[in-house]
Amino acid sequence: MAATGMVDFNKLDRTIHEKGRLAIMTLLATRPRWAFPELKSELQMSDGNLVTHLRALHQIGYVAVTKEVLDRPHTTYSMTERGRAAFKAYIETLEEIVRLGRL
Amino acid sequence: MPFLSVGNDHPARLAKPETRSQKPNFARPTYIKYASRLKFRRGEPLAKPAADRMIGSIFRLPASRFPPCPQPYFVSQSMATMDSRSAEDHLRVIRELMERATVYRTISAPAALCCGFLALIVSSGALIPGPLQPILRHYFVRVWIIVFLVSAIANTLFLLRSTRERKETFPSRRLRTALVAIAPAFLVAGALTILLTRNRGSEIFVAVCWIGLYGMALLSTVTFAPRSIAWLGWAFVLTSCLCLGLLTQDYLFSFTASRHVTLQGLGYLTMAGTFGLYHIIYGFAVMFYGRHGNG
Repeated sequence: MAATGMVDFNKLDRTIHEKGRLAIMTLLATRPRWAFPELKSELQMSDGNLVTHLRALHQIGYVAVTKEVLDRPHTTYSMTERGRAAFKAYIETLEEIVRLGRL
Repeated sequence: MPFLSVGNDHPARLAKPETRSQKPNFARPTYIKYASRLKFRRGEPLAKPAADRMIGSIFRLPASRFPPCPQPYFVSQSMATMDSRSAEDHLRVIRELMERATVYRTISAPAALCCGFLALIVSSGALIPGPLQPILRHYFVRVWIIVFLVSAIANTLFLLRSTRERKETFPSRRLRTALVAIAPAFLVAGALTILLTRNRGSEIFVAVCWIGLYGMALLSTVTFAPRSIAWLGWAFVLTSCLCLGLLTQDYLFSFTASRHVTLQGLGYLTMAGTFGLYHIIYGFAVMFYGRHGNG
């Protein structure tokens, strides 16, 4: 822990740090768009849980929501530039912790 | 065990709350949610710079929750105690999730079926006596290059369709990664084809090289491909190894002489068994059991 004491933990984004939201952000980083059912099946989350996390991420500006009505309503989610930057910073902080731990 | 460790001499215990509404309500969902993650710091609030140095991340709850207390500080324990191992675990989970999400099938199931049936039809034409047999046997390499091109076009069309369904651009980043991975094996296959076709009667060797290198091309995408692609790749590679083991001159001559099969015919037989049959099995298996059947 002595080595990791040099890491500024304030850099770890609390919104992303939560397990469920971290999983959502990870998936959104892999593809430009994710439909709600795809996210649900990949993460094995309940509708309510997933919606709550997505709403939290949307409110903070990390996730953009697109709602289309074709033959039926279709909601897709994508990562915003701000979200991508925050996710990148989060991973860099984790890498920094790992790096300092190995010193 | 209470989730907040408050000492008996702490003002929060000694002082009697004035009204019911001011009582700390431990049953409230917000507190329960924090229970596993927060640690109460006893005593007077730490000076902020000192607190920052010691515990990294600090925030305070509204004073109304604990009216008689000095404003308590809470520590987000998961952050303050995050060591390199837990950070590594986080990164591993992120990587695994990303890999799982970027699974990419370079051969779509319908394309595999097209390729398989085409290989079987062409091989049947070369093996069953008929008007096409002499032509097909004479132009072994050219025939299979045409089969390869037709299959590649079919595969591209199916991948294009599935890419459009996912609203991605074509070629997608994943397709480009796959192409870069399989390119070396295809280049070597091309070079070996040029080298081997200089001699007549080398059709079976050309076929075995194609089978092996095709298997290696599939296995080179294994880090982001579904398991069925890996199985298909291994099937091709092992068949190629088996054929190379059996293709000694003596065995080859005795086999072709006893069954009245030419070397070209043997080449077509091998191609039908692998590029034909393996692809058909793979295509049906993915269509009925696979999650990512359309690429």
